[in-house]
Amino acid sequence: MAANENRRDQKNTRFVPLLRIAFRWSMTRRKTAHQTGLRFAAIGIAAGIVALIVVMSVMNGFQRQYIDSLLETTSFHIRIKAENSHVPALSQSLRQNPLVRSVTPFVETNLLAEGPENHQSVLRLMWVGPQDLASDAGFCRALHLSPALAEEGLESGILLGSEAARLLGAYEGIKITMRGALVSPDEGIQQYETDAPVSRLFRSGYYELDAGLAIVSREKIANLSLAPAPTVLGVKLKNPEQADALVAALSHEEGIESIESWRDYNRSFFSALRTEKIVMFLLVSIIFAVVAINIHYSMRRTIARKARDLAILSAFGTSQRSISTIFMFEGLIVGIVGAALGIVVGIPIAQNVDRIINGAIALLDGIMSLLYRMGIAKSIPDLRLFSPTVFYTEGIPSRIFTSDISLIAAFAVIFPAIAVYLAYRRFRNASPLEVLRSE
Amino acid sequence: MNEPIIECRDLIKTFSSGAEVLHILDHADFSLEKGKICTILGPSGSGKSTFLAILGSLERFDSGSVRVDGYELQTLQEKSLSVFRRKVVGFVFQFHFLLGDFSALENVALPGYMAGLPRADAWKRATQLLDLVGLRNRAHHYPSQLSGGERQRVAIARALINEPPIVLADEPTGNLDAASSEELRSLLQRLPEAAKTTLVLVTHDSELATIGDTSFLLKGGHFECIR
Repeated sequence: MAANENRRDQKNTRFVPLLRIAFRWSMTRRKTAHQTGLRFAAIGIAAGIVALIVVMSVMNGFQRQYIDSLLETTSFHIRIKAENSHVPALSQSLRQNPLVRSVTPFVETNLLAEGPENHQSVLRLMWVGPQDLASDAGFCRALHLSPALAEEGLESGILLGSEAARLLGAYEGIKITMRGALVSPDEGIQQYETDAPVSRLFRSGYYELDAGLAIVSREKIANLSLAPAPTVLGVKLKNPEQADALVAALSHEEGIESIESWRDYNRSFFSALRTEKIVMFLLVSIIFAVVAINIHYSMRRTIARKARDLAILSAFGTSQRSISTIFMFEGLIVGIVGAALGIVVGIPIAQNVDRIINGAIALLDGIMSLLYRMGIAKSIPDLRLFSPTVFYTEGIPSRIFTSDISLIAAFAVIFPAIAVYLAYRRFRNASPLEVLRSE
Repeated sequence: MNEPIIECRDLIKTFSSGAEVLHILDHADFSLEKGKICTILGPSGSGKSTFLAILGSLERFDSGSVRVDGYELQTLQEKSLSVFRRKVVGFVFQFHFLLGDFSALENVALPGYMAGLPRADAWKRATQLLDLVGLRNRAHHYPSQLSGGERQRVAIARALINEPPIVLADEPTGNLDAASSEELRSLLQRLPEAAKTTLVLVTHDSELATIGDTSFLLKGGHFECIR
């Protein structure tokens, strides 16, 4: 009989009544310290979410900017080292593959470049055919060059990163000399040298590329007495996520010496980015931990104050499980309200973070100008957040990922619920009769 | 004689106070028929409230057997005791113990709603019960807006929401003035018939004790039938 009753009891532990009670306790019209505490907790969670969304979006923005620049230029989605005799056939076959967006054969070497006033810098030199480069629209876009300009520039000289040009003291029309060396077991160290005028400067926005990349026509290799390195096929896909599948499919093709996807090629860089993101997420999540601790202590006070009500519910047959569920719901309500508020406010801020900061700076700038004109301020300071004299960025990029928002929201909802549950756990073994007697 | 709805045999309950052991119930026997009013009297500290708490499963006992409406309380675990409290007994305490954040109607309806009654049914039944205790017009008032007697009547209505076969009332008029006590006495007297329940009433009030079909005196850990 008792077993049957227990089964019926579990069936009767319906969530809706418990949720209603939790809602009433949280949202009672009477202004109570408990309710005020919950409101502040929800606002705290919302503030934490806004901070996390904005920080993560800006971090994603910077990371995606670098990743996109890398994938569209030196990394490609797939890099295939092929025997020179198989390069034309492989290129042809890959271009006909429906997954492939472009195929760019190139030779890659590191060289010591020297500018007109003997300034030297190490450059990563890509030897690419002008037409091949022009047909890779993504590559041209990453360099902020049109395909026509890129092709024309490559036919008449070197495409050089703007920061590399600055380091070498070079500019458009100025000839630079590049020297490299090959180590051969038979011949020993052999030097080679080539020179060409700078035909175009590019600025990708990614400092490593702008300071270290130069592109020269692949036809110039014919002028050298020896080939500086084997040919690589840079393959870009319509969907980069299919890279690993295509690598697996191509790995046994004839003529391929080695093949790797963008994930393998950039493994250490992406690991560093991922670590950076996780650490930042954990650091900013401390906000939730602080809010959860606040909620925990606030709920402990509340539960102590509500001990009589809990004893009454217990005396009328409400199980301890149901009572703990009521408090869990209270925590969830706080978390959900805070999360919803944080998402509604955080996403627009993250989307417009550059405009908001520039607007704020413009406003401050205006105020400072006014103060200067009125003779109150002695000078107008440079208020730009990323001054070009210090930072290599023109604006604050931002990318919002649904997965990040979902994870942040889940944290925001789960933390208070756990905090509330732990607060209740201290009181669950209290005897209702003892509580009522003490009243 | 009808089957007893409450039957206690050889009931022992002790409290320890340092080295001293107080025998509140000492091999006590008690039995009550369904539909009756039973009043329990006794001096302060004699264990009347403790006995009521044992009948309502709010207090455990040391040994003996307690059978209430077919439930053997000594065999039940905490989960089953919750079910027992929900289905078998309704409590009325000396202090009303209403939930301050809820209106009179909600206070009455809530135990029913929590027990699995559909919301509309719980609210309908709560309204009927407030009608029974003469407080229908005060249904949407909060406890702080009610007088002491009204709060206690709301507490009686709340005790009846799950149609319990037994109502346990512990000094229900203890905090009330004479007029309110009289109103409550009248209400309690017609409760078994109106709500089809059995009433066990612990009181010091000799006037209130007269409403019982049977009366017991609890003294020295034993029940003595005095009427």
